Amino acid sequence: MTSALTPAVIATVLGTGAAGAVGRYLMMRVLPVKHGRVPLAILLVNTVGSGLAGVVVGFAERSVLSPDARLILLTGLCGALTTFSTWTVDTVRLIRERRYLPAAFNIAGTTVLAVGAATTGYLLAR
Amino acid sequence: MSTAAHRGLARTRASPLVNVVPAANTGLTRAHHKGRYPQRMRTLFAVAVGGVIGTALRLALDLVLPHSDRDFPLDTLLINLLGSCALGCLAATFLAHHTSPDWLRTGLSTGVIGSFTTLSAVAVSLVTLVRNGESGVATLYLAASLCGGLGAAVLGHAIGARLRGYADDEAER
Repeated sequence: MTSALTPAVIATVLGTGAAGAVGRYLMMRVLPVKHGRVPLAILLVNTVGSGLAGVVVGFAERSVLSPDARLILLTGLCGALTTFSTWTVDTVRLIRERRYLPAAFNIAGTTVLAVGAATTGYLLAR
Repeated sequence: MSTAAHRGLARTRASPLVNVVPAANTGLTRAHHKGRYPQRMRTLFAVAVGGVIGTALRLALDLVLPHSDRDFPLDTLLINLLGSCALGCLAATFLAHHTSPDWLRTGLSTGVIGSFTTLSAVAVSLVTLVRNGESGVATLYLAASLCGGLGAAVLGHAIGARLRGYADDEAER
């Protein structure tokens, strides 16, 4: 049940990856980080991307989506739309600035919202 | 006829309005367009190209490192720790100096490293691990991602600060 990984599939994965990155960048432009506050744009894209990923995995399990479509949406779009490094580096920056409450919220809030969205998406699509 | 005059002539021909608009005004509009609009487009383009590079690197590592829905997702963990360390290092060095162009800084951080690392794969792995009855592995994976990710960001920051220290020492000599 794995993707064939033809050049066309790889190209589409990379293309949707670019779209995911641009979507994340535009969201960061719409909701710029306020000094010492929780980065809301990253929280939002991570929640939305994780929820979408849950839906994709659920649909793929029921064979509504092909393994190719699963790879394109999961590794390409959701993979690039969401980010881990910006989240951890932003959190460390908040800790360095002694903004412990926003830092704790950024860790707990992102974990709960992202995992919650993925679970909800998966259960709805399954 | 010089090329500049040629272009001016072409513009006059293309738009009769040029004669009405003062020359200084058109100059200002052109400078404005040259200064801001393409710069944003350049950053957007750099993020898109960075997205392709980051996704390609992640896909390649995903293919090289074997994984299944029941195993510990070592590939994603490795990707996220590497990315956090790299971004932490960049934040302490390259991104801290505003001397390099915006498109390069944003393309590298938001584009390449941002797309290389992923949270959706972590969330989805946790869901499938729990569904497959591997709650213990899921808990371990979540703890490793959180502690490891933050630790890697701190480590990257420290490496970056050290590198910057060397660079400053070099500059003083």
